[in-house]
Amino acid sequence: MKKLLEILNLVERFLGIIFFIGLFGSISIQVFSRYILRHPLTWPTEFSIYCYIYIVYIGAVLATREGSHVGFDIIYERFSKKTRLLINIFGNIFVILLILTTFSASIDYIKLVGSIKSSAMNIPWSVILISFPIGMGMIILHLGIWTTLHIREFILLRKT
Amino acid sequence: MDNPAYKRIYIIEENIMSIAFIICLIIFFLSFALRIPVAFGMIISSICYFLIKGDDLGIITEVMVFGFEDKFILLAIPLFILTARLMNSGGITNRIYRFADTLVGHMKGGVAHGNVVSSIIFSGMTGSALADASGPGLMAIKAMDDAKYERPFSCAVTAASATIGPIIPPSIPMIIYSMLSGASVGSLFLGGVIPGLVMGAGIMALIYFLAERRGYQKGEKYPLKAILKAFKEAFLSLMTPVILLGGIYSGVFTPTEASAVAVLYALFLLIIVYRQFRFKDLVSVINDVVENTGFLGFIIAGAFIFGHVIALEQLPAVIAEFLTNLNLNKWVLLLLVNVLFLILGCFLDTMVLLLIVIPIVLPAISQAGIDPVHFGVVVVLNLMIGLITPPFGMLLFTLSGLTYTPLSPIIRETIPFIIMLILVLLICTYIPEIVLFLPKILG
Repeated sequence: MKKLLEILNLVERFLGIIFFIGLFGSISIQVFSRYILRHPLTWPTEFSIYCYIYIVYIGAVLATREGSHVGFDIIYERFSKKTRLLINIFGNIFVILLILTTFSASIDYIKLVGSIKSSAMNIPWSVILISFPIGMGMIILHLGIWTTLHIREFILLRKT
Repeated sequence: MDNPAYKRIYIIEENIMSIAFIICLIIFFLSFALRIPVAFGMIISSICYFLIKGDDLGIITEVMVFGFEDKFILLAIPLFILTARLMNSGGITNRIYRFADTLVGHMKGGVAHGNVVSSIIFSGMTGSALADASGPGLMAIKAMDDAKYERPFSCAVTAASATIGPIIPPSIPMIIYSMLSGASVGSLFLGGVIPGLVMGAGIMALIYFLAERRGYQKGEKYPLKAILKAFKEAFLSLMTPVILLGGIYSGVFTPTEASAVAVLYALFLLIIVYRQFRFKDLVSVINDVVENTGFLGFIIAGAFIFGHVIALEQLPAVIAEFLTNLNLNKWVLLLLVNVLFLILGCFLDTMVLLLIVIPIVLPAISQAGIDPVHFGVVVVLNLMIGLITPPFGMLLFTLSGLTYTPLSPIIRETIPFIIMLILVLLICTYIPEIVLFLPKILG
């Protein structure tokens, strides 16, 4: 399981770098093409936005893994360690359950509009839209891992 | 519709809508209080809203993906973050700091003044206060340590001067404000120049006053030859804002394209001119930028769906109508908004405030005839003050963590700077020309 998670981490980071290069490269090509070759292109704008969407969801997964999403902790910090762990456990379960409710609707929506083609690159919308369920699925996975860790810590704390 | 049965159904539907929205807000605030990340809080409360209303949840995918489709300006954010990281990882910040020190180091409290001037210069290269604090700011704190300044004072000066970062262009919060309001990024960038310089002057005046009172020593006075040498060494780095802003305002490239040019220029300086960068480092820098873009973009995606719910409930229109009915003149309205943002800024993250509160107050601001560029700069200035106001002052946390200095003495030393920045905020609020002069002349 640990090995699998390490591979997953590498894949996430690799994809993040690839999409970032895609975003930076396409904007640079646009600048070069428009101002040096005097021949503006239509595809780089669309391509860079699609790369950005993927970066957002991959980056959100990485931030979930690292626990670096911004939260308000002034009230939370006032609770005891045990209560904080319980809040984390139930909070994560609540978030996981609610996100899970969106999956079937998300897939239905992608089935409904996914075959429509983008205006400049002519690629199906499903290629872009699928970033959402994949990203949310990975976020749920990492939240699940965090929850397991919190439960273990809570049990250990109760024993001591 | 006159049929009583229809009326009853209509009232029931109205009530269901209200209940859904009230529950959505309760879940949002509860998740907030229990430290569920803000992005998740906005998403799950919106999911609850649609579940209670019985609406198709497919809308969440649509809004959270296609919300980005026409926001080309947002693409500048990861590229400006990358520029800041590149500048900080090479010797660029070092050169800028040395040049700033030769200019103002001889004044009373000299090293602290050098800290402010290097922040002003660095502001023209990146759009982030945190990048400023953790780059040239950290370097200046080390120099202030060597000059025997108390560490909390050094952190306070660094925190206050880092707030100039997003006021002087480029600016990440201004890019997001532009996306929300439709105001021109170019005008917002220009509008921030004079307020940024006024902030710098205010902070330096305060440092001078404190240096007199506390007996801080003057720094070394450099001969003209040394100043010119430092200028020559920093010259290519100093050209970054010239290329960036010159490119944008001469119409050569858009702000998003300018961010890509900034990255290319930083890479050119680090790899070819200064030879201080390894490709191995680039991978780890890009990884960090992807993660930063992710958590920021995810808050934006959350704000898209939460904003959609708020728009469905017509909350901005209701608030605009309420404020219009109060018949407040625009200066009182601006004062109210300033007070609101200063209070909320003590507790909330900059991006959360920007993405949630701005869309709610914008219609009222527009109805009161307030210039969106003026309002944008005032709001961003407000948000920057929020970065150094306790208990939730992100810059204070960052500097306390980076320098291993306890938070309380830093907060104590920061208070005079907060008062000074509020004074600058009031000046910029009530003398709009300070903001609008450059956009009117050059825009």
